[in-house]
Order: sequence, then structure tokens, then C-alpha cells
Amino acid sequence: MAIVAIAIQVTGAGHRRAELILVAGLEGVVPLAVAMAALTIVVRENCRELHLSLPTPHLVTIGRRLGVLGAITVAACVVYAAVAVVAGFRVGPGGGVLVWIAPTLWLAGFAALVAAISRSTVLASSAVALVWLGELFWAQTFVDNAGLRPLFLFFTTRLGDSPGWAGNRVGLLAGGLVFLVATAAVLLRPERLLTEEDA
Amino acid sequence: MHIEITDLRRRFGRVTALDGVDLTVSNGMFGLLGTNGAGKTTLMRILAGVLPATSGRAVVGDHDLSTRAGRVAVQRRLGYLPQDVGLYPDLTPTEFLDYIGLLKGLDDRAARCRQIGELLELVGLSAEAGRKLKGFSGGMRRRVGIAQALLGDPTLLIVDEPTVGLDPEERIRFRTLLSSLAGNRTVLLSTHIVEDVAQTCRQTAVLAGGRVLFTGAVTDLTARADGVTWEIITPGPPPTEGVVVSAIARADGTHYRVVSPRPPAPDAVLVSPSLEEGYVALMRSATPTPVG
Repeated sequence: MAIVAIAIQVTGAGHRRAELILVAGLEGVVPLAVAMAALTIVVRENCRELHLSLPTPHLVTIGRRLGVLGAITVAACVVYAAVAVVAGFRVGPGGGVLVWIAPTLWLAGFAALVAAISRSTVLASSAVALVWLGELFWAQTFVDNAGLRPLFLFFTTRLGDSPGWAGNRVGLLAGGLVFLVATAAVLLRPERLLTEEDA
Repeated sequence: MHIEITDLRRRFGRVTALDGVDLTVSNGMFGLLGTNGAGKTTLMRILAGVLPATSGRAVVGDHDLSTRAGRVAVQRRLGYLPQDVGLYPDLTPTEFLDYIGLLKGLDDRAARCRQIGELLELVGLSAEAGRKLKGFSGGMRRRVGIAQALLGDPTLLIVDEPTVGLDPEERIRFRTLLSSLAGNRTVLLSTHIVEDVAQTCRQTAVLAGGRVLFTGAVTDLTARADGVTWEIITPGPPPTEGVVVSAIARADGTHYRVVSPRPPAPDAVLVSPSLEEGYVALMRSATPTPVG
């Protein structure tokens, strides 16, 4: 994304356009990639039954894996944003942390919850893709509707840090935390984790 | 490690997998026999703390499995080999055992590494320690599975259908390994292969329809077929009376062994039963309904 943005600027397409692409990378692509990785962590486990028999709770194991994913995401996004800022681009208020962390937490939390409930990679990834594409295609509806605005993933890309941005970020963060807590509640029930054949 | 199970029940929706199981298990090898769907795996999972019971009581050592503290205490002393152990194909046995060791709370790295080396030696996989698991045969994977179960030197070992899908040589090897591990441990072996129990266990229980049909010494189960096991040698078709347990074709005709309360043919001869025939006699005397 950064390479594309720099290439656009080099071809003379404009600084503002390149900046928009950089923000879209943080706000649009990162959440989708992290959500797909999160649902894979929750669903795909070769040794699920063995894990459930170990003294370390399986929820803790999944939490650690999601923690590693989170750490990698933070490191990658901070480096991305830092490089962009050094190159003279603005990636959002406060160095752009809330630009990516809020939608990423929301979409990853949603992905983890659907994955935990459905126990299906296909179903969970389809649901995530549907939500992501839905928000992309009906972006104006989310912008216009006050009730949907806190759920809008691409606020910064569409409207910058205009009024309502902070509320949108808080809404996404709160939603993401609720999803993660609900995921933990589902994962605490072992019979939810074993397949029909297992149970 | 003593196990005391009282009126244990487990339901999955409308299906009753365990329907009032009472069982006592002491040190040594204990075989849990039953058809597919008898409730063996559900019982194993409850004892391993994987699933909670719907009602009833299971006490392992001094620990009640209905409490979280009790489950964790048992899991600290448990080695569990599920029917499908899974494994991570891109790890080597050493890496896999190291990971499971950490999750078992073996925090001392040097001690953990030493134990992993000893266990790989025990299960005959030292030479394969650096190979990725994706290239392993079914028998080798089971051996990695038993090695992980033995990490932390558990006093209770639960193995669920460990010999299914193994070739005869691997099956015998695995049975011998399990027997050698019993020592001062409690080894709970769940299987539907009667031969595995006959070769390794002194005590056994038979589950059908989520209930215990029999519990006691293997010799007592064998004795269930005393006086009802017959041999017939005939060149003709198998007898229609009773259950034909084996049929071996020889020069003088086919030797049928039949479990039947009445002589299945006029020239049938009473013979000493095997454990398999005892199991068949027991199952014939009960009317189980298979459940999940």
C-alpha cells in the first residue's frame, strides 16, 4: 500500500491522493487481514481436545495467540505510520493510531466471535468479507445514518477527522471489546469447541 | 490413582450419552470396552476434564471433577491421549513435546528437554526427533501422542482407542508399551477391540447404551461364556443358532466357534471361552440401545 502510494505521488497524481491510499491501507486493509488471521486462530486447532485436557486453559492459549497477532499488528502499523509521517504524509490524528486500531479491534472481534460460534473458517471468513464489503459499498448510508455511524469502519478514509470521528472510534473500540468478551464466553464452554463428530 | 464414579450422566441435547454410570477404577491397567456409541469417549472426556458431566459425581484421587479446582488438580496429574490426537504437522516431535510441556506447566527448560529426550527414547522415536510430524505414519503419530501424555510423569493415563487404524505389528508394540507404563499408574484404556483388553488388562468394564453392563476381572467377563461356547466343524454353511464368533477354514471343514445358550448343531462341542466370547455372551444377554 505504501509502495503504491509513493508510486502514485512519483507519477504526479498528487500528494492528497497518495495520502488517502495510505490511510485506506491502515483503516481498510489492516482490519481485514487481522480479522482473517484472528478467525483462523479461533477455528483451526489440530489438537483441540488435547488442549482442553491440559492444566493451561484453552482460552488462555487462544488469548496468547491473539496477543501475538495483536503485537505483530501494532508493530507493523506503527512502522507503517512512522514511515508515512517521515515521508511527509498525514495518516490521521495522533499519529494515526486510532485510524487502524479501532476498526481492527472491531472487525477482528467480530471475526473471532463468528468463528467461535460457527466453528467454520468458511462461514466466519464469508461473514467478515460480507461486512467489510457491505460497509465499503454502502459507505454513504453509514455516513448519513447516525445509528450506523459508530459501526462504520472507513470513517477516516471517507470523512477524515471531521466531527463524529472520535465518537465513531469509541464506538468501534467498545464494539470490538464486547465481541472479544462474548468470544471468551463462548470459548469457555468446551462442548462448543468440539465438532459434532467429536461430541 | 483411585477413580470413583457415581451415577454419572451426560446429555447432548436430546441424546443421553451416559445414563447413570457407576464405576470404580484402581491402580494398573483398566480396560473400558463397548461398541461405537456406547459412551466410552464421553466418559473419558469427563474424566480428563474436557467435558463437564450433566449430573452425578466423578472423583479422581481426592479431587471432585465437578469443581474447577478439582478438574485442574486432576489435569496436573493426567496424561491424556485422545482418539484423534491431531498434532501440528510442521513441528518436529521435540518441538511439539516442548510446546505441550510448557502448557502442562513444566517451566524448567533443562528438565523439560531432558524428559523429552527420555520419552522419545521410550517410544522409539529418538532417531526421528528432528523430522517434521507431517511425514509420520499413524503408528508413529500415536507414539508421539503417548509421549506427550507421559510428559510430567502423570499418575493417571487415559488413552482413547489408541490402536484403531494401526497395523498388527504397531498394535502389539503399542499394547506392550501401554502395559509397561502401568506400573504404579492408573491406565484407563478405552477400546472396542476386545483383544487389546485381553492382552493388557486385569480389570475391565463394558459400556453399552451409556450404562455399565459389567465391571470386574477380565477372567469373570470371560466366564460369562462358560457353558454357552460351542465349536462345530462342518463343511457346510455356518449355524443359524447363536452368534458365530470365529470361522476358520481347515482341511476337515470350517471350525465355527459359536456363543449360544443351546447347542447350535447336534455335533457341537462345548469349549473353553475366550474374552471375546465372554463379551459376546454379555452383549447378547443385554439389550443395549446405542447412543452418542
